Formats: sequence, C-alpha cells, structure tokens
Amino acid sequence: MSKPLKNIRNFCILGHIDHGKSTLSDRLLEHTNTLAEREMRAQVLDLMELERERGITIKATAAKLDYTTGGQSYELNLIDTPGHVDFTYEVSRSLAACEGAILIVDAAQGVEAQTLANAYLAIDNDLEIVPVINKIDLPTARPDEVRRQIEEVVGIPGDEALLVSAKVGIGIPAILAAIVNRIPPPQGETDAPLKALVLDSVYDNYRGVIMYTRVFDGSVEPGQKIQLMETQRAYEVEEVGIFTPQLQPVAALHTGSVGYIIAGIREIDKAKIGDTITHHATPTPIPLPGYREMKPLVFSGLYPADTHQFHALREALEKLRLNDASFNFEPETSIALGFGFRCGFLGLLHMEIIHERLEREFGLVLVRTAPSVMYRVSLKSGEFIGVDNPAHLPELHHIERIEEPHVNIDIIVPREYIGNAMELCQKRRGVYKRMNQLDAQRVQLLYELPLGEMLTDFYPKLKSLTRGYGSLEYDIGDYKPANLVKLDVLLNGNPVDAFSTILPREVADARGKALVSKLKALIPRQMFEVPIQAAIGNKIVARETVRPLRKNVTAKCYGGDITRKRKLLERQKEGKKRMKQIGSVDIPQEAFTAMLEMDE
Amino acid sequence: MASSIYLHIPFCATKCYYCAFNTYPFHKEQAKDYLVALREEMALYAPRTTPLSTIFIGGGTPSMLSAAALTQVFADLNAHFQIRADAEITVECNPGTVDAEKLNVMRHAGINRLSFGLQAMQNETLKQLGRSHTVADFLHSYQLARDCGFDNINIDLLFALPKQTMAEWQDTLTKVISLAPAHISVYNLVMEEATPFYEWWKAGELPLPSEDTEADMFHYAIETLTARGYEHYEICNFARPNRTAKHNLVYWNNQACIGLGTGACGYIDGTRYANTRGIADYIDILQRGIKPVTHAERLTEQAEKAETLMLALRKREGISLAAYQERFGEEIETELGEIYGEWIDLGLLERTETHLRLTNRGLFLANEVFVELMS
Repeated sequence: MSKPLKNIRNFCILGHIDHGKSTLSDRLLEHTNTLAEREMRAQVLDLMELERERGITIKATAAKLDYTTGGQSYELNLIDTPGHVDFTYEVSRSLAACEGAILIVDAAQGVEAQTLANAYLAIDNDLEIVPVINKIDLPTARPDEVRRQIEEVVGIPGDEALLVSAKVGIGIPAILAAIVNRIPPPQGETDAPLKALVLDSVYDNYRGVIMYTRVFDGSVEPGQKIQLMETQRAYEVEEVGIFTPQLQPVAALHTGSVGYIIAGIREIDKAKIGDTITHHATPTPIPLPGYREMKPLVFSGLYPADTHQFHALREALEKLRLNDASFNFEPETSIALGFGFRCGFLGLLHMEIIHERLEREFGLVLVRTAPSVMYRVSLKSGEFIGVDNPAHLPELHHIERIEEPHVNIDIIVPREYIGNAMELCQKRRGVYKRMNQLDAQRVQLLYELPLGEMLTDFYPKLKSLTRGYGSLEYDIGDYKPANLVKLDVLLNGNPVDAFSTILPREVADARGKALVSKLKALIPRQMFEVPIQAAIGNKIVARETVRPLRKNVTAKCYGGDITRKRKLLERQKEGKKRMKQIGSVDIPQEAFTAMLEMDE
Repeated sequence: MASSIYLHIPFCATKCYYCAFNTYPFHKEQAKDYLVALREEMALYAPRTTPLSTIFIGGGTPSMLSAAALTQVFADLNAHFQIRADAEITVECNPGTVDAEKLNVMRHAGINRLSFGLQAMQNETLKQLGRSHTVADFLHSYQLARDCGFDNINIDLLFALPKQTMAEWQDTLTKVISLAPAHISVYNLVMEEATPFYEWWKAGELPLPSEDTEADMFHYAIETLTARGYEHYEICNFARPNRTAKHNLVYWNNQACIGLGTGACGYIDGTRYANTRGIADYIDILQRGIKPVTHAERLTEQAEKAETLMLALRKREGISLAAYQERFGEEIETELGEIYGEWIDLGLLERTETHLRLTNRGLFLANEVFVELMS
C-alpha cells in the first residue's frame, strides 16, 4: 500500500570527502532494519568494487528505509550522492529528488571546500538542511568550534547541528527523528498525470535500461504505456520497484516516492538523465526543468598497449558508456600509438576511474596520453575550431587566437599555508579574487585559473604544500584568450604526436627542457643513439641524447639449463612488447604520462 | 641417444653470496646415499647412450668428495657407459678442496680436464663474494694440479663485481694469464633471485659498476686475452689452440646430453628435462627405480629453432648455415625473415661464407638479439 505523502521523506547526505557519508548511510540502514546485520557490509551503498577500494562514491544509489515513530510509520528514501568534485553534477541531480539534506561535517576537520559547495547546492535547490557533526568520538573532535563554523561560514543555525559518531553509532536515532520532524514531506498531486524525473539510469544486460526515478505527480505501474518527454519515445512499463537497496519489485510507484522503472529500453541514450517520464495517453502538460547536460572537460587518448586489443577496447568503452553517459569517446589515430580513442571525461578522477575499470574489468593494458582541455581556436580564415588533442592544433601562422577554459577555484587552508597555496595558484597562472577569514585558523582563497593548469598535478601539489590540510572545490568558468603555443617532442628526428602539449609561450622553453631531460631518464638505452628534442614550430628549444646501449649479454646457461634461459628471454620479450615502438625506438608507458609529474 | 653426460654433485662447504645453483651443505652419510642413487640413475640412462665423448662433473663442489668417493663415481661411470679413449672428462674444483691424493685418483681415473672457480685475484674481493678460499689457496691447488700432470685447466673469473674497479679487473686478468692456463672463462656477475646479493641489490646496498664500466671490462678482457694467444671462441670463453671446452660445445651446438644428479638438466631425443632439486627426494625416487625427472618438455620445432640459434650464435664462429639447413630443412634467412636484414643493417650480425655470426658489437648486445629470436 502506498503511504500518504505526509509519511514520506526524501533526503540525501552531503559532505566533504571522508567526512563519513557512506558510514552514516550504513548506520541508518542498519538502524531501520533495512538490512539484516548479516547483510551489512561496510558501506553497502558503494556498489562498485572500485568505489569501495577508493573509499568514494561514484554513481548515485538509493535505499528505502522503513521507520516508525509516534505510532506513525514512515518511508524514508535515502539518496546517496558522490563525494568528489568531478561528480558534482551527480550531486545536483540527486538533490532534485529530495526535500531535505543531511549536511555532514567532520568534527575534527571542520567545514571544508566541498562542505560549502554542497551546502550552496542544497540551498539553491530549496532543500531543508539538517547539519550533523560527525566523528565526535575522535580525541581531536572540536564540536563547538565546528558548530560555530556551520553558523558563520555556511550560514545555517549552528545550534541545530546534531552530534554524531556514525562509526560507533552515537546519535543515529536523533538523525532519524530530525529527518521526520525537520524535512518537509513531498508535495504533489496524486491524481494528476504522471510526472517523474529520471535521476539516473543504469544498463543491465538482461533487463535493459533501469531508470532511477522520483515520482512528483501521479503514479506508475507495470503494463502502462509511458513516454519520455525529451526523446518522445513511448515504452510499456515491465516492472516498477524500490531500493532495499537491492531492486525489489512493487505493484506501483506513487507520488512522492523514489524507485525504479524498467520499460524495455535497450539504449541508455534514450533514457536521458533529467528527462521527465509521463503517461503516453495522458501526458503532463509541463515537463520538469531537468538538468544542465554535463559536457566532458578533460580529454585524453586511450590506446591499447597491444594493438590487437583495439576492438576489445572499443567493446569495453561501449559497455562502460551504457552505465555512464557522462564520458564520450571517438576513434583517433596516433602516429606514435596507432589506433585508439579520444575520450572526454568530467575530470581527472573520472578519467582515472574509467581507465582503471577498463584495465580491471576488461583485462586490457592501456597507454593513456596526457590529459588536455578543449581549446577554442579562431583561425585567420575566420573559422572557429575546438581542439581537444594538442597534436591537432593547426600551425601557428594559421591561428588568430586561442582561448582556454578557466575554473573558479575555492581553496580552504590553515593560515600558515596561505603563502604556499597562493604561490602555487600564482605559478599556475591563477588570478586572485578574494580571501575570506573562516575562523581563527583557516582562510578561504578564491582564484580563477586555467583548467589546463589543474590537470598537471595541481591537487596533489596543493595537498603536499599544505601538509594534507588544503581542500579544493571548483566551478567551471569562462573561456579566455591566452598566449599559447604547441610544444612538440621529436625522438630520433620523428615528432611523437602523443607527446605534444599546448602551453603558455613564456614557460614553453623551460618546460621543453624539463620534459626532454625527464624523457631521457625514462627511455631505456637502445641499440643506437636516440636524440630527444623539444620544438616549438620549427625551432628546437631543448635537446638531450640517449646514448646507445653498449652491453647486454648474459653470462652462461647454468648447468645446461637451456629451458630456463629461453623462458627468461621469452619473459623479456613480453616486457618489450609492452613498450610502444616509435620509429624503432622502444618507449615505456610511463613516458607518456611524464608531462603530468613535472617538477615546477 | 646421447654421447655426453653432465653429472651434478650438489655439495658445497659454504654458499657464495651470488650463487643460485642447486647446492647443499655436505653431510657424509647423505653423500654416501647420494652416490648410490647416482649409480641407479646411471643404470636407467645407460641404454640411451652411444660411446661418450664428453663428461662434465660439476656442482656444487665435486672436489669436496673424498678420494674414495671420487673413485667410486668414476668406477660407476665406467661400469655403466662406454667412454671413448679421446673423451674430454672435466671435474669442477674449488681452490682449497683438493690435495695430491685426490688429484692422483682423478688423474688415474682418466680425468683430463679441471675447472677451477677462482673468480678474482684479490682476497678482499673473494671475501665480499662469500668465497671460502684465498688467492694463496688457489695458487696452491693450481700448482698441485699442474704437478700431478693436469695440463688442460680452466679458470673461471667474474667481473662487474660490487665495488670492483677496472684496475682490479686488469690485475686479475694479468695474474691469471701469467699462469698460462689452457682455458679461461670470464662471466659478468648476474643478479640471481633468492641470493643474498639479489636482496642487497634490491635494497640498493650493492654498488655495482655502471653499464659502461661493465662494457669496458668485457672489452678489456677480449682485447687482452686474444692478444695473449687465447682464442675467443664463445661469448665468455677463451682457449689456447685446441683447448676449447668440448663439453660446452655440446650445449652450444644444441646436441643431446644426459643430466645426472639433483637439479641436473638433460636433452635427449628432442626432450629437455630437469631433475628434482632436493637431495632426499632424489634419493627416495631412485630407490624406487624411477627417473627423478620433475619437468620435461618436448620442444616444438619453433622452440628448437630458437634455442639452436640462441646457443650457436654464442660461438664466435656463429651458426653454420649448412648445419642449420640440414637440421631444419630451411635456410636461416627464411626463418629469421625481416629481422635478418635489420640486424645486419644495425651491425649486429654478419654473414661469412659458411656462417652467420654476431659482429663484435653484436657480441656485446647478444641478449637483445636473443630476445627477438623468441616467439
């Protein structure tokens, strides 16, 4: 039976990475007996192996909790949200399905960059915020200080914050009570035509697309004909259900509820995230506002180390895309690396995760080129082109102007590291915007800088320059013109397209020198001398030489053990195969990402 | 059928820090049982031999066996196999483990070649390698052997040792050449897994010479030894005229050889095999009258080709074009395909009237070539 709207609450948990979102979700599931204890695994909602390993949530997931208080039984729908800046779009998506949010803040760390970013997202979405100070069991917990930060920095009443330790299970009942008492029930017309939001969609090999949905008006049940308003396609509903958090079929999904719909959709593109689901015969007149579609920001080439794996890579990419419409790929040819794909990602972490999943889940060995942003190039001919692969930048004399994307970054650091953080931003061509004093210890720094500068080691550098205390959040800003050039690398006189980068003219020479000497250390000595050069256009700006290999000969076959010797050579041959041959120069895979780890 | 035997004596007084050979501390009782087992194994292989032209008794330290035990081994060999009058019979000796009695026993048993593991001519270096002898021990043993009438003696040397300088290596070579042995082997030190050196090296605690120094040392050895009348006939081996190691040539020509003893490897009728490495296991299996083989692999034609090329190219003369054609029914050039031309262009290989061989440069880069031969 469906619950009256007043007995439903839809909420999510927001917070900075590592402040304890997933642990709190687990505790709520446990406390409402949504899962028997034996089913509990740490961080149940992090479904992917990779998510659990990295301790982060990548895809949003959901669970329905049954909770009884004051003689009333409630349906609490928890929508878990990803906790990394690359996945902000997933967070904002989840928020559209909720009336309230638990904002979790680490009692020892205090408010961080993502705490703020997420709180603002929640406020923008008119959500009721329940602040929670987590990890109060830690000896370093400073709940009063954090309470003050919530009030002064975030701007919500600090005395409303609940004191909790999700890890040891303190304060969980109070959270459940606050969800019921503080978060408003969903609004909606139970008798109006169906209006439901596609929160997310995943692809199942047997069932096709499974749409995660929040019903705003009306209800939906198997057998009905539904329509996706943006794509204008109609489908028959095969199954509807709720998350326990496993999928559990129910007779119908009613107004205010969160659940899933399976309707025989075979292509994930047809169930666009943010689209509105309605009845085919009696559609709702006005669709939901939907989401801004996320465009990839970071691009990189993925190539099979073994050229025979090209088709396997294509299949793997297609399969992954079924569950993640936020990245794209298209075939690309590199003189150096052969056939591969140019892939677009939401950010660096997203890129790493896709790369890792391709290798782990599909058994591929890949070479990944240095990430790039999308440059906007206006040519002298009056034409405009987008360049996401530095190798494809037209020659300088054809170019009128190059623009690059910028980001607005928000850094929170302890006072003693302000200098370090500012110096880093300055070096990365950052433009200072503002500084806010958060409390006695910490400041917030606002800068605008080119996104491209964030792709080379920015976050790890910030972390190390602030002894791990700095936190970072960013927002996409505008495209701005810059004096950029393309730096090419030549091995043995042949340009290696995969090593090309676009960078500011004023640092190009120095970067060329650094890159060339780094490559010299990475490229093993070959049978002949290998010159490594860096060039801007026709001008060589740096040169090093890998001297030829002089000696590689093993002494003897131990006691006539020739098989052992042969096996050893066979293994070495395997190792060589994993290197990329350019001209006849063997290049180890690390060389292709050398750009990323350049010292300042 | 085979006409060569390698016989392994797995005992050593101490284990050198770089050594990954199959060796164990010496126990008198166990040695006795071991020799009985060896006899059993000889019996199993006897029908598969033609008159033997080479025997190599290696280790371990065969010279650790008592004179009586050595007598026993030779008697057993003679009882089971026909040995040609001109056969080359070698025993590996460690300096300090031989005396006049043992040497006389060997001499009378028909042993005509000795191989001394000297490695270096500096006491400090020997100590760092974990060797159990001094330079004086070696000189004493070597003199005894000469006095006993051994005129075909090999001396094994190691280079590219931790902290070793070029001057030290030159010193070693000069002193060894002055002894005028019939044969000298020079091996570069290789880091073998499961040795103390390997562990130290992994931990960054073993200061090995650079690749360039190693190449210079190798180069110096070739120059010096050939100038002093030694023929450089295999990558690491140098011999006075007519003193090449016939037994080792069996390996390099990829010919059949029976391996006897723990961990020994053999190659017979197209199959390579390796014996169990444990002494107790070896004795136990042979007591049941079974061959103590733990690995056997019948070579595919491809593997046999690769091995034949890899082994024969170690010889300075290279691989005989005719012999290859006869063995495999095709020309080497056909087998190598594209890389044949590439290697010649790179100056790694050269072709003489009758042979295909590594150039002087190719000799230093032999592994790069051998790796490419693998399928």
